Amino acid sequence: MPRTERIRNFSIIAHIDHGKSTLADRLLEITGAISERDMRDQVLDTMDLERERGITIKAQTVRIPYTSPDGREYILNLIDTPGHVDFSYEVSKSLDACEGALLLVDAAQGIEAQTLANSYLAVGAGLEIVPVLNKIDLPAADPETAAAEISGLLGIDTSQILLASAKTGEGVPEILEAIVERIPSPSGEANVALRALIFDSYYDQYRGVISSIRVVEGELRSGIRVKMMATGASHEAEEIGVLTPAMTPVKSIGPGEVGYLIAGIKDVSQAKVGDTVTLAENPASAPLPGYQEPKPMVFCGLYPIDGGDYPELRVSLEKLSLNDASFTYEPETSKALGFGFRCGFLGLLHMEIVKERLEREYGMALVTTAPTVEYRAVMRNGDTRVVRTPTDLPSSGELDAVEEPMVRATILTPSEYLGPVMELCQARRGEQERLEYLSQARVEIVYRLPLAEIVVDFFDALKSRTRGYASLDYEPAGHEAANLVRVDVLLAGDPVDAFSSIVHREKAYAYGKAMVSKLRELIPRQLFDIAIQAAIGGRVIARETVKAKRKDVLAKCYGGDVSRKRKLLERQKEGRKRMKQIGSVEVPQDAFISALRIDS
Amino acid sequence: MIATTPVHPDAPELADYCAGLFGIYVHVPFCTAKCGYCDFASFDGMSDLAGTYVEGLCQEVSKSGISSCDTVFVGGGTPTSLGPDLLGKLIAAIPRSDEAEVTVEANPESLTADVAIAAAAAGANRISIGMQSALPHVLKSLGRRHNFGAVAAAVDAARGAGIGRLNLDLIYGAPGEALADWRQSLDAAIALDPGHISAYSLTVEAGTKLWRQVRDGHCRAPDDDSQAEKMSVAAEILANAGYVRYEVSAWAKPGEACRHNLMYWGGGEYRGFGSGAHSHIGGTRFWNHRDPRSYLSDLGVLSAGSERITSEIEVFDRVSLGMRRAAGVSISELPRGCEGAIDFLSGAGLVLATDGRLRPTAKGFALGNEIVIRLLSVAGSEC
Ligand SMILES: Nc1nc2c(ncn2[C@@H]2O[C@H](COP(=O)(O)OP(=O)(O)OP(=O)(O)O)[C@@H](O)[C@H]2O)c(=O)[nH]1
Ligand code: SF4
Repeated sequence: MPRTERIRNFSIIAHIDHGKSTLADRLLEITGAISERDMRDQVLDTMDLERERGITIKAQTVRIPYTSPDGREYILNLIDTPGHVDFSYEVSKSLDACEGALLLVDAAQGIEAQTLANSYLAVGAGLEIVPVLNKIDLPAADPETAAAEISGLLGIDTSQILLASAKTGEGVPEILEAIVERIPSPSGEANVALRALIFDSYYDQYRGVISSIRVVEGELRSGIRVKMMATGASHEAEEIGVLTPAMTPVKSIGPGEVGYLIAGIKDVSQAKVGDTVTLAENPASAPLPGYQEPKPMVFCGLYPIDGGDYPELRVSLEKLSLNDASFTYEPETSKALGFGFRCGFLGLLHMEIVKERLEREYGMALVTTAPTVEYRAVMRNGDTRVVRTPTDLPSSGELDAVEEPMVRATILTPSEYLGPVMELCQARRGEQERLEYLSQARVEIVYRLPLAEIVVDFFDALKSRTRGYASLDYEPAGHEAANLVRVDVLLAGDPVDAFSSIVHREKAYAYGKAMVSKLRELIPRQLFDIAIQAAIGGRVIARETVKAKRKDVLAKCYGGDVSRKRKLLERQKEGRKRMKQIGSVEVPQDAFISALRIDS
Repeated sequence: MIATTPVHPDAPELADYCAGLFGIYVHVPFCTAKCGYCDFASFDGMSDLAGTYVEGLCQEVSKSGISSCDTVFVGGGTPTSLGPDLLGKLIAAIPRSDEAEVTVEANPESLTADVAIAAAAAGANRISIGMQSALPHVLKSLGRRHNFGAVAAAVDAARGAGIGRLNLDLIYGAPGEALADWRQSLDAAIALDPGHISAYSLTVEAGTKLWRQVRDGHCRAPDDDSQAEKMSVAAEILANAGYVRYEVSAWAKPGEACRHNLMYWGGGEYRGFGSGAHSHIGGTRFWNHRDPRSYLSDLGVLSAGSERITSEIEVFDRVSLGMRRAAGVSISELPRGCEGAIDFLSGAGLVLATDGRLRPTAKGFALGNEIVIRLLSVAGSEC
């Protein structure tokens, strides 16, 4: 067991693509923590989806033994943090297990909004920040400007900012030295009752729940009975260990150390993130300060394309939620789509990831309905109802007001795009709260915006207006009454509840028009004319028609063509299977979401 | 033509009879220039290979051990570009019964009198001429190098050589072709009084010059609605002129249906000789190298690819090919459990179920994929 003064616990705060994974690889490589043979590129991102999308979702930790040039041996625990706004909750969990953080910024891009928000979180949690400008090998790197911004935003002297290239390895030894010199070692008594923080828990099919823990004080020994202070349940510590990054069992984990715990637990809710682990025999008197559970902000319906798959979908959701406590689901019924679930997510990316995992890992073919936020319907009689499905919105006769969730959004943008960004926020019913030039070249703007206006395509719109240079971070900012109505969509005369949306009245007409014309593009021509209408309370506000198709046949098919033409037809047939039959109309699986991507 | 063969082009008896024939397909991969829309296994600038090619093909034929067949189709490419001697030699080398239908594909500009005479002498009894259009601007936009005069001359050449069974191939939907242009082409073809007319919707095939032009925005792909319009105009004009539609794109007068093609659509067996030629024998489809030089290096000894016909594929082909025919498919041969699909398709006016057969209507001809997909997307279609 290492002495605490030789331990450093840190994470890396970085924007997507600023080079966190590359730097982590380099750290592991230089310290020899992992042999080159085992070195898959980017060791830390382990989930397939993470690899593909190049983002980190779940926190991962890795233990790096490091011998400094003066011969002293250290244990560095790198606790990875996710890089997307949907998962900022995960970030704060990871930060709580650290004493310091590397703030990694692409020297050609400068600091981004989420990185800044996470840095403030880290400063607030009392962490030592070690700023590093990465990618200095790039010709476009501008370390002076980036350093000046960081210095201005975080009050760090520019002389404290390290320069490195994770790609070439330049400056990486200096980063290691700064970690041991600047980041404090953890403190914590060994001879007191155990208190360990669970900062991550996930369900493994073979081992049950595996929790990442940080021992704050006391000592955790293998085989001992432990108690979860929130639930009161006790379990045997079947295996404890450290991640090298492979799981390596150890006999004990002492104060200041991070590691994992397997205790025969079958459900992540029994080993909740934020809970305190203590000993069953000799429990601590009070738990560590925990976390607030993140609340889902975005909701949508998930329906199997084939109604017969409903039971399977339920089982898949159950399994998935074992691993993802921030995602919620409850049964719901749609007239158009049949039996399904109303699911809650931290954000759109989270929603897409869950959907993809269900499709990929559990083989489900799904329809996702338009994402919506959680409205509050204030009734005439004074009651308040929560509305997570547009069709649940009470009729205007019963309603006194509808309140929608608001966010405070911070946007960092090059100043040349300030105009377009402000226009976008205005168009999304935003109210400016603050505007500040970080340097001549960059501006920070803070807007108060309805969440509903930013969940679907705000980020894409922001990116396209700023050629990808703006970044966004947001936090919940209460509810506010607004003039909202429900716009319904009718296909071939029948209302399709899954297409209903709650929209601001002033935008309802434009929305309805855009929606039906988008649907006209998305719904393929079929054997009959299909009327698509948008309506508010039974009054039609827009209409389009998908004309019946008149020709769909292969011109020729002779001896030599048979196999090839069969493949064409089979593809067409497979495509049909991904259509959802609604009444007499076949609707493509993704129409429910794509229809919403109507850029204003 | 044997006396017992039914003559009505759309008669189920004829369709079933042809399904039982054994065919030989012979591929001639040479063309003088490549047409813009063409994705066949044809090549320009290779004509110096012609002699060697015919030689090699004759060897492939004799090595195959096949001793006879009921229909022969010499296609391409442009068989007539071989010239009288090579073409005659090639046709003569194909083993077949005395009553066999022997079709040769021809381009108007290369079907000269001597070529026609040589083909007839070697046993050809049917010629299919690539007329495509009667209008110069349409022919030009298709990238064809002949004019309508050449078509009339080619027809005369065939008839002069004693070949009475003629087909004219037409294509509709070329960039710049108006509906009136299409009517004019149909009328011109009818005026030449062939026994058979094929009218194909222009398809933009990936990788062709036309496809690149469409991709790069130099011209527009024909849209489905105007193509549907032209298809129904063709059906109307040809019917008025006494032609019977017996397949999506094929019309014939009594006794003039192409047995070789009906053999394909009936799922019959055939052997293909030459580069890129496909065969269907004994539950397997296999094919030769598409590139003439690769083909010549092994003469079809090792097929370039093959496919075992599983029962699933068998059902798929039976429905997708069979429902191209006016004769349709016997309902007893459709996948089990497709009654619902039949009801739906009948209700939508795409098929007619009579006398134990399911046949496409005029609307159904134009929406054939819909018929196939619905019939095959039913429980138990994999039986
Ligand atoms: N030129 C140069 N490229 C770098 C450097 N560091 C990282 N990159 C490249 O930048 C891209 C993003 O690097 P990653 O390490 O995947 O970024 P990340 O921050 O881990 O991204 P997430 O996993 O999505 O958070 C990759 O193409 C890297 O090869 C560097 O120092 N110099
Ligand atoms: S003549 Fe026929 S085979 Fe040759 S290129 Fe033209 S369309 Fe293709």
